[in-house]
Amino acid sequence: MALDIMGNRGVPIEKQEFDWRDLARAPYSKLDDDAFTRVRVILMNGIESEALRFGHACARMNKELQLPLARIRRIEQHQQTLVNWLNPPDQSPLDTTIGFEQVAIEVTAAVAQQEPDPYLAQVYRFGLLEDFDHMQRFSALMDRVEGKDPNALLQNYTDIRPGRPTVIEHRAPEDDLRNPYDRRTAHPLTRLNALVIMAGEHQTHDYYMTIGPMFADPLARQLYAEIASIEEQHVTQYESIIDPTETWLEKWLLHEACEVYMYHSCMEQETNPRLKEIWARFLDYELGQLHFVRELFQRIEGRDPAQILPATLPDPVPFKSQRDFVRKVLAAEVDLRARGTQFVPKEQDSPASIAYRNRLNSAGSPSEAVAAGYRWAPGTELAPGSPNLQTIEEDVHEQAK
Amino acid sequence: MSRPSDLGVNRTGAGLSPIDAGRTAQGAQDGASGSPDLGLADELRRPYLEEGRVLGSMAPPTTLKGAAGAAMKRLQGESLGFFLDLLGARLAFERTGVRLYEGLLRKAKFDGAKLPLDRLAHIHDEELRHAHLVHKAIVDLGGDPTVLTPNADVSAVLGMGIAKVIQDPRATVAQSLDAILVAERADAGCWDVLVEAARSMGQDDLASSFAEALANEERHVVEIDTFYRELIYAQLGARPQKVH
Repeated sequence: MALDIMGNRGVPIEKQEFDWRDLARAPYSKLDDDAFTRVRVILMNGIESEALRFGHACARMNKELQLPLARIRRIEQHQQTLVNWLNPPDQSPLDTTIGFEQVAIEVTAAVAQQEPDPYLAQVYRFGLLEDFDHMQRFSALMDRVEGKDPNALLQNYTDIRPGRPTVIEHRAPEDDLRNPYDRRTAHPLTRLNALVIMAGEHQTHDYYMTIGPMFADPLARQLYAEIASIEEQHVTQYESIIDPTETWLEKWLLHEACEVYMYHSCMEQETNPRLKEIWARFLDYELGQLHFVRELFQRIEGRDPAQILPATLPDPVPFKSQRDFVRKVLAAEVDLRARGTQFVPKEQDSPASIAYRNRLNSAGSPSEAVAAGYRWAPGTELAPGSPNLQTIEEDVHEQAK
Repeated sequence: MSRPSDLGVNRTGAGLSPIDAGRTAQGAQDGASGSPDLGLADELRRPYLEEGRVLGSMAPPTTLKGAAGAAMKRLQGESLGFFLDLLGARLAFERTGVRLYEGLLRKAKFDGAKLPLDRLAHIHDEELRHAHLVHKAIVDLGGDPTVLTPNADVSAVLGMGIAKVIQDPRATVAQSLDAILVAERADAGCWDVLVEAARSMGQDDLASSFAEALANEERHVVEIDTFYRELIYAQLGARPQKVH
């Protein structure tokens, strides 16, 4: 159902209040809640994290906006806490990592299909196959080092198989920048899509940077270092598709519109009634914040917000398995590489990126090492009938000699 | 290479800087206000306990297969579900245990094989056999062995510290044995419960095979404990090192 964002003013910011009990609510269940509930919580934490990041960057460059930014940011920060604290403590950092990659795969795949600009749709598909491969690597880590089954978190929605190999995802910086949309002509959905995916990737990078050193296994530490490096590449890529000539207030307005869009998408599809209420409440908060920023935009820039925002939002981002689409993209595009702003067959890979990646991989590749020969099987590689079981037993006895 | 108990530069003790430690203690004393009210913290925690939430629930058994089906008809609803929950925890524990032994073996081999590596490999194989035993039991009871049960979830949380010690290259073989001994003792205790649970439900065949697994686990405890003590006594200089 389309949401009228111009007519619906939500809750005024003066009434957007919290207390500590409110912020630290009972989390969702790792076992009983749908995997897409976890996906929504992780994603919205990323959206709020981006709100703060943008809000601080804007404040550093715009003295006259510092107070309104601080007011909105305070609310966003508390929203972020409430959302992020819905993650349960029995969900380990590696469990949550699997959740992060599921967000990246399923949401990027959904966005790629709804993106009106063909070049940008290709950008999303390119990144998608890389996050898809990260899932394979982290799954191998979970299975081989911890003896746990990543599908318990993925709930059969997402494939676990190689994508574009992480080992060749490392690129020179000049091969991570893409062409931006034009702010004068871009479809509203194009602008929203870019903000969602950029936010998701930036949060993923920051999360891996935080938890990487918490692992004791050197292979895990190296793997997180490697994949965090790729996530920084992805942030660079997605940041570059946004028109840098948008004004600060234009960007702020788009951020609020994106937050409205995403809370609406979450609310429409949430299966946990408790969380559905939270999404509905925060949708109203974001509408209130959107109107606050609209008024600033009109007053300071003297422009009509309708130039930037659609009257009604696009259809919600679908939160569902995109397995068939991902497999099609995998079959057709896994061998693409990036050269400058363009995507090329692997034979035309950038010499600068080849040199860069050879240097990075010169002491070995954790993503290759962790997942060498890994094939996901239900109940892990150790389950009866698993194709790798005999090899594992032979390796162990070889070690014991 | 230094050993962890060599006298070195551990800076964590207050005794290292008695003057500064004294000043810190005095400062804390000067700054303290009010008498302790542990009730405040409990009051804050109470509503969360009152909510009465659980980690999660069990998936219903999908089928009652073969000969086990008829025998299992006595087990209905909650008791079958709870038994499957316990089996799920055992399966998760054994699977993780297999990976723990792989980690220990790697470390012990690098350490110059003061431990009998073939014994560690043998224990590894037994843990794997136990995992398959439980896997079969779950399937025969109509359960799904890929379900992460509530008690398996608890088992995973409990095991995280053990795994972290074994995976850390800075933790010695002795420290890693200490960690795996915690796992083995817990494992033996849980198998004991499973034997009794199976018998109490009239599942004598299952109880017998669980009793064999329990006997294996009890041997694991003795073996690992022996390996561990040998290394500890060697460091204490209490008696000459002896390896089985």
